[in-house]
Amino acid sequence: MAPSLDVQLFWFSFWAYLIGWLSFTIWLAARKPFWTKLGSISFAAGFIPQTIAFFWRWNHTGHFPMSNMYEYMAVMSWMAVVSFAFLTWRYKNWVISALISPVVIMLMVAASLLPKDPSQQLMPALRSSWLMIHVTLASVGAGAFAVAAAVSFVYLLAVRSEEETKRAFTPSFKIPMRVLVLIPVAIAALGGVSDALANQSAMQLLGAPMRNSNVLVLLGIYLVPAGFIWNYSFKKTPSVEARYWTAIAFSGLFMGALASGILLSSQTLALTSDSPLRIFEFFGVTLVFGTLGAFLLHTALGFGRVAGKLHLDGRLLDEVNYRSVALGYPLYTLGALFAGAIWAESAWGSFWSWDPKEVGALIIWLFYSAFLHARYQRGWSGPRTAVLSLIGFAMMMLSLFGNYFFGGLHAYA
Amino acid sequence: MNSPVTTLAGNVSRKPKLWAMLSTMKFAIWILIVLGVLSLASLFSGELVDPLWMKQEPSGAGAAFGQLVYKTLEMDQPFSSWWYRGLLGVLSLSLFACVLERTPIVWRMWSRKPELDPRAVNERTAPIYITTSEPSKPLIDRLSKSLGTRADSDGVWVGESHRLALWGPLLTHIGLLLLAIGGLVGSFGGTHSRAGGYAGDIVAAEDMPFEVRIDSFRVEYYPFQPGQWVLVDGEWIGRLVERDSDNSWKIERRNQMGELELVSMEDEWISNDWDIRSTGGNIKQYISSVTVLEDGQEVLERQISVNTPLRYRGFRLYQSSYDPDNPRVITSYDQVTLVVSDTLGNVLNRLPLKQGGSVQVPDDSLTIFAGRFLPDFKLDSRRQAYSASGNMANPAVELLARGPNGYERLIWSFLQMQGHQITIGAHRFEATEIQNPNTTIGIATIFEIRRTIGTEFLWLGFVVSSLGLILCFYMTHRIVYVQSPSADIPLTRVYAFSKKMIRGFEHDLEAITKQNGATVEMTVQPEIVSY
Repeated sequence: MAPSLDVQLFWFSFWAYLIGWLSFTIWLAARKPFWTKLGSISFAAGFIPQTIAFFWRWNHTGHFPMSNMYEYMAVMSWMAVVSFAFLTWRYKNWVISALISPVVIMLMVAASLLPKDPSQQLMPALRSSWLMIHVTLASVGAGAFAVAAAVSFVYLLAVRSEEETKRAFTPSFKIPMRVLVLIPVAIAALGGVSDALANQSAMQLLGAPMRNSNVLVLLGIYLVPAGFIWNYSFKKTPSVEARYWTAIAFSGLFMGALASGILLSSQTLALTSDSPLRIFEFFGVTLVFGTLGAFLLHTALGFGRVAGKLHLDGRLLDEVNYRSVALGYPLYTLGALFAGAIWAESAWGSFWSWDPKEVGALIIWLFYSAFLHARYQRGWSGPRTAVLSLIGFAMMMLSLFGNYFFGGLHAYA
Repeated sequence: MNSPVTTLAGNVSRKPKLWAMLSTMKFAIWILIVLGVLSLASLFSGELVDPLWMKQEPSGAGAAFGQLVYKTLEMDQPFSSWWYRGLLGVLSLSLFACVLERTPIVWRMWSRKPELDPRAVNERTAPIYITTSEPSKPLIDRLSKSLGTRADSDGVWVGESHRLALWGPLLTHIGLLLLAIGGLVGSFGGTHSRAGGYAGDIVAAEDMPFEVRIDSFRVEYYPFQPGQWVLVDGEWIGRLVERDSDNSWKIERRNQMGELELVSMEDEWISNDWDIRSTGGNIKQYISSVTVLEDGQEVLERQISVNTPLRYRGFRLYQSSYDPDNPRVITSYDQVTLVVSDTLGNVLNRLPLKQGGSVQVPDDSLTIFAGRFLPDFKLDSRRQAYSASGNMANPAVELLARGPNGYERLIWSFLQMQGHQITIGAHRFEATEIQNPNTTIGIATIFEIRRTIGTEFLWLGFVVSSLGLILCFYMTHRIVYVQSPSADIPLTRVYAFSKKMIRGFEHDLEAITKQNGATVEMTVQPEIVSY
């Protein structure tokens, strides 16, 4: 069957946004107005068909198109474009636009990996007007957190003084060497030690029949020395370099998640419902690809030193980070938690059921509450809040895809 | 406990140490982090440890210790465990302390008059400080378009916007506290049960002051739609492409070689109650029609479906599930004739009786209710009545006799056994002449019956905290002081105060002040947040 009209429009928007993102990226280096014009036109050219696709799908399926992961991610990317337009208008700063444009691409890539079939009928539990309120507000909130994370990422990567820039890039090669040292350790652990220790995990000694002890034992073996070495490395590392590596590690993890998603989508990697430790299987792949991705990204940025030359206004990025969180937090609270609870009371009979997705939303909410308290009352700003934004976004992604691993009442989403 | 505590401002407080600790922001941040981390750990614990292990005999001392730890921490249900509830309680206490501490502070800020003494504000306390060569009058005119005038004296003009935002954090915290109270109250009270049945059955629950009669239950399916996966002929899976004719579809499927092929099939061979993408089939809605009965009287008719529960007298009945694996013969009828005789067999009355209805027996304290109709009456191993088939092999009508002092007796009157009468007290009863008996195959509907207390707190909490969040995050309180040493001297000082979005405020003030060719100097210190 040929793809439906909305899917065809989705792909048109995808390519338009991609051109827009490339234009803004080139503008960062070339600083010629032509590229910002091309970028803006491309984004506008992508936004219009994406909007039409949204309404076409709504009309075609007969229900608000937020009933599966593809639709959720597509709307999140649509919201990121709205944020892009708003922040560009508000701050009149093309650097901000250039930084937000990859968020749109990331979300579009994630959406492109998911099944897009518009013929799925809405199951009885989703036949409610709360669907629109709950999912729209939650996705707008999540989109705002994504923008905050993107700005934070660039803040950590690129905001520093000239002196810091010099220091940051010179010794940083030591860390990938240490990370590389860990890979043989992990391989050795995977290959040789697994059989011997398969039934000797700490939990096993306590009498708990582990569902898959090998993976956990190996994860422990890998993570404990990694933690020590990481800690040792950071003690001797200037804070600016630590920040740089935090940003690199997050981008690597994101690329890893993307690679895992592609493998899942192509059915190279299968997560079955009868595999209780599927979350570790997924993140195992994510970590491996993430490490490689981080290394490659560092190589690209470290040698090119592009980031240090951007001379970005740290205070402005910090405010955009805060502003995005401040926009997203109430929407997420009202949409994901409050509207979700009210709908749950109508559909399932209880405001709160401690469903994995609910717990995930609660954890994110607790985290961003701590973020805002730290900012308001403890004066946290700059690199600290940037790191918090990245952690929050990673948690949000875990919650977003968590129902694939944990199941629960939201398993259909 | 009442030892003095030194506050950040250097004042000595006489509050109890515990209270002082609970009301600090540092404590709030820590409790939020601890709760978040433990919630995450609890989420994973279900993946790591098999809950069945708890019930097994420990294999050794280590295992016994492990089980003890597991049981003590109630890790099979971590989110309802004592320690998790305790942490939520501590968070609520912290919220309570915060609300009590903040209320007078916010009130003071709300009711405070603006300082009109030119010496009271200066560049050291203002996050944004501007000097401009423009006279104050035109500048104030422009500023007053975005900020309302709060005070205006000879030397100082004070503009202010979104003062209501001062209440935002406090309202948010009060709302969250109400939600916590509602949750706490709800966790210690209320009832929860499951019950169901077939059409004609009556559902009751403990403490529920009414009964619910199930009138019908049906499952609604979506119509066929292109792109839908279907099971065809009970054997193979295909995908609907388009309508071939009024009663057939073109279906796409893969043959044994793995190639796509199009097959035309009539509707009757296509199953609409099955979908590869969802376990529930292509179901649109589950609908139960019910009648609420109080003391046997019909008081309300409603439809219960997913997302539309029945709410009545503090109880809620949800369409929880259904039981397609145990179909039952469901019957209905319009009315029967109740023949009342004396003990000698003389007919005294012939009373019409509708299904579900009742009739008072003349010259007797008994009331007779008409219940189910079974066309092929049988008793199962538990001596429960059921219909073995839909054929009128042994038709029987259920009658319930109710008398004074809670007297109740259930009787079956067999329609094909002429003269089969049941004697209760001074009368004999028999059901005859059933009108319009109807027989169908039905499936059971299952309801979740809940009574929750503390929901008023929850609703109030939702409203108050939503309002608080809107004030908190979508309104920014801003104050601007404009000082002019003299109307003749072209020098104006502007002091701008806000707790949030200083860069945005700076952009706005820049746009307002940099007009008319004035020389403007602007100093921005976003780290200054207190005023």
